[in-house]
Amino acid sequence: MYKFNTQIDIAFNQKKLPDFYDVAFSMKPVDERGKHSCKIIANSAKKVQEVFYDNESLSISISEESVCLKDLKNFDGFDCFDTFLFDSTTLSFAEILILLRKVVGLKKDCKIGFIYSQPCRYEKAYADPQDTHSFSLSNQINQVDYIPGFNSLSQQGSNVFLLAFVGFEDTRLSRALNPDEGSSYSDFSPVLCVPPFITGWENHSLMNHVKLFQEFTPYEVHFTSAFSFVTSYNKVLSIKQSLSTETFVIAPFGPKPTSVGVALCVAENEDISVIYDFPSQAEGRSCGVGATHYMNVLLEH
Amino acid sequence: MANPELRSIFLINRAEQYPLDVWNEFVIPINFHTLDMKNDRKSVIIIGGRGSGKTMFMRYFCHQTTFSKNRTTISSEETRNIGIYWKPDIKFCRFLDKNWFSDNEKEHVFLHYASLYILQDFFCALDSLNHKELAGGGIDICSAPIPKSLNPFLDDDINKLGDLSGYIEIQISIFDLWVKGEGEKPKFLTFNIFIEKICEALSKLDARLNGVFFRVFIDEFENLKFDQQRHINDYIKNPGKFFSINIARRRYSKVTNETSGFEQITNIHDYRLIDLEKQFLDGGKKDFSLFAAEILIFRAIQKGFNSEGVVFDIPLLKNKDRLCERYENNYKKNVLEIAGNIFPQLSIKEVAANVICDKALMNRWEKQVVAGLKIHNSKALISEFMLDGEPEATLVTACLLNRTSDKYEPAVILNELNLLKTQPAKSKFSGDGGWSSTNIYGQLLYLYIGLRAKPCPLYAGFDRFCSLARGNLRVFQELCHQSFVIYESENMMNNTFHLPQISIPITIQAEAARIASDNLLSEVEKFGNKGQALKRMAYRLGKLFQIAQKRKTQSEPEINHFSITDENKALAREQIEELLSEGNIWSVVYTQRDTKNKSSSDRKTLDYILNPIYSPYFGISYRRKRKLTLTSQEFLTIIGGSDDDFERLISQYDDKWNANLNDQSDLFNV
Repeated sequence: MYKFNTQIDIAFNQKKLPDFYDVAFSMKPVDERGKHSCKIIANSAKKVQEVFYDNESLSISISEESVCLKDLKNFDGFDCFDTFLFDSTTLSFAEILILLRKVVGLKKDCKIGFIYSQPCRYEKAYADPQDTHSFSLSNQINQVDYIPGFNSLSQQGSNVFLLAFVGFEDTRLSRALNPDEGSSYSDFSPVLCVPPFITGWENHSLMNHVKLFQEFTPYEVHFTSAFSFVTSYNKVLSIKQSLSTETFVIAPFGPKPTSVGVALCVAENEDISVIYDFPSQAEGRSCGVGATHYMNVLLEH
Repeated sequence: MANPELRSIFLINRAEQYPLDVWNEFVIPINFHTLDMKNDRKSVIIIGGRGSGKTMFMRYFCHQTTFSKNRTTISSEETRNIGIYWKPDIKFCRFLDKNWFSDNEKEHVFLHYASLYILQDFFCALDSLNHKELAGGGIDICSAPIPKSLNPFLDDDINKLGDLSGYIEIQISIFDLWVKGEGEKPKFLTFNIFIEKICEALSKLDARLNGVFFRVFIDEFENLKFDQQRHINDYIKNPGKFFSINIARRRYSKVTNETSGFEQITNIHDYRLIDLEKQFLDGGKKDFSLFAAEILIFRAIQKGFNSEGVVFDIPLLKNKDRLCERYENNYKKNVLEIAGNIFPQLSIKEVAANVICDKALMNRWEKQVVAGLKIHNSKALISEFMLDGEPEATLVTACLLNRTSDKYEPAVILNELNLLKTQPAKSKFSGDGGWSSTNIYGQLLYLYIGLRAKPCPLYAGFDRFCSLARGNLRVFQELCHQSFVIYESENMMNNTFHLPQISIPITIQAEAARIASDNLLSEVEKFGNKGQALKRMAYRLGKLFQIAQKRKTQSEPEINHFSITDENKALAREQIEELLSEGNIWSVVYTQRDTKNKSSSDRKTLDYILNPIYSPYFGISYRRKRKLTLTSQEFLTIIGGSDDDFERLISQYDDKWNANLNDQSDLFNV
């Protein structure tokens, strides 16, 4: 069970967090804000472990040690830690989710921190006249896939509800909903991020998805804050409670703080399934460093 | 009942959006005699492009439809061909192919997974047989005992066939847990043993089940990994006594014919190929038009539009024994006339006549004439090139004047115009292959291109919608749907619910064609892993053809396809092949043999045609008329070059074609 502490902002010139952690997880940064948050976590943990999940080999490398997800339950590398810090600026949803499930599975009280640095702006991409709301965020949008251990065969039935957090790239949701790619959901609801990082960005997100919403009519539309970790967690939990017999599937395609909220919820609820598309993030996808958010959660057993 | 809405007619355009029982929705295709499986038991492979109706077709044969609650009589013959449907979960199949399981285990795990879902629907099918309308009454199979030979697979408390549905659900949960790394390893099942043993018992249970046979349809076969396809092919090679495996796959998709042994599955010997679109594509446009018209009228009546005054027999569309009636000329004429009234169409002459009355378009025409006269240093007056009652010839003079050849001197053209007035048969403007017929289409497209406020009527009309759809029902439905949406938005207070009175204005249809084209083009980037590259290719090809279309001379009008030459580099060939193959799979381009160039056997003999539905967006022709021969280097620039590289290519063609792109802000400023 989680106990959430208040989310705070970290000033740009602040070199470390107010708390100190046993271990921090991060990935190689691809932009300025990633470098910024990496610096902060380096000063806020005894040890920083670079992690990466490879969806082809179904294994996660933790400080160069490769662990197959099948064997992660028996991995004892975290037994000596009580406090964990996640650099959600650089980590993708998959790593956050897999590591959180592992931490929850330790069955001990611990503290989990999350840091996220917003960008000042994203690189625009005008490939054609219609792309006025597009940004160059990903090198390639892949097929949606499963992350082993976070799916159920009942996802193939006729009574499946999809909750999709959306960002700017409509292709991600489009591929998730496309029956030609094997998808079939009885209902779907998008979660739009309002308030966004910067006022007006919600329009880009909405405009990019309008055509898709005409083709796949949402059951209802939800909103969540783009930069709050806990709001998305609560949103997922409340929607889960409102469902009756449907299989609940989540597509975390929104900004990272919302993905952290989803991961927190899925890590402790094995009956929620997720789909993910493992986007390959474009180098230099964003410019500048915006607000940096920090929150910690106490995990109590 | 609420008033029907036109926009509801084609709101649903995918089989997945309908219930599994499609008895009320399915219209037997006009070419059903070439598709029907009847009581033939051989496996079939169903192929068709995206949106060609593969899933709907299979569902028509499945037990939910065969034993539909909406049917009033069901012959006992129907038990001889009962369909079961399975659409594999591609995400799960991809996962099964990874190294979660050992290589030895993978085959068994996949077949167990396939068996669970095939058997799940098989047991539902057994339940469907208990249908009160079945000749002789329903057959209660559920209370029949399970064949003893299956006992080793089952728990002790499973005794009746009716218990098996619940048993399978439990097995699915056990398998699910095991795959997640929790729980005991399940007892692996093989569907063929269950089907064979149970059918053996059924054939003795009731005389009507003597000859019972199941067709297992596997949808989206191309999404399975090759190893998984091989295991399925094993069953096509070696079908059971009581079942066959049948698959549906997208045209041009990459699949293997190999089995897991040394053999391959082969057409005729092991399976029969059912091509859902062949008859519509191979010169069968008329058949497609008829089928599209039938669906349009059927859906409108089904949605509650009043058909009084319309002679249309809905049961005829549901009866495969009355297909020949739909080929009668009177029937075809009637159906096409109803559809033609809903989507009226202007002849080329009428389109040209309307242009003559349009000040803005004639302004553009006049500028074109002036430019032509300047080339020939002629002092002739613009008005001399306007011939009353001959709008096509009048419009065509403008492009002819822009050609530098002496053949098109203003005096020559004026002379031919004069002949057209006095001795039409002798004028070069007349007849098939004459100046008018050869150039009018291109000239009209030239006058309309780039004018968003004036949608081009050459894309409007039922027949033209069918051409734009090129045998694809989903595209046809989208064109109709967009027309209905605009029409209803503009006629909120003036809607008619009487089918014969519905007539969508030309301008609305033309605008709808542009919107549908725009929508479908923007979808391209979502087509698989190469979506972005396909989108770039489609936009750049479209832009190149658009420039060709903007030439004042229209000396080679209606360029909308291409071939590729001098392909020497192996790397380039691979890259080109790969993208064009993906383009074919997703119907972004079509490949056809170049019938005019039989001299060589290389890629030059293949024509690549941009899907005609993208034509309205670019303002180019949808007719396969003229092609552009690109070098492989030029094509590589189109598919992978930077924006600057592509702009350079465009500039080269601009110079070559003298399209004067820089002047167009003036020329097209009307």
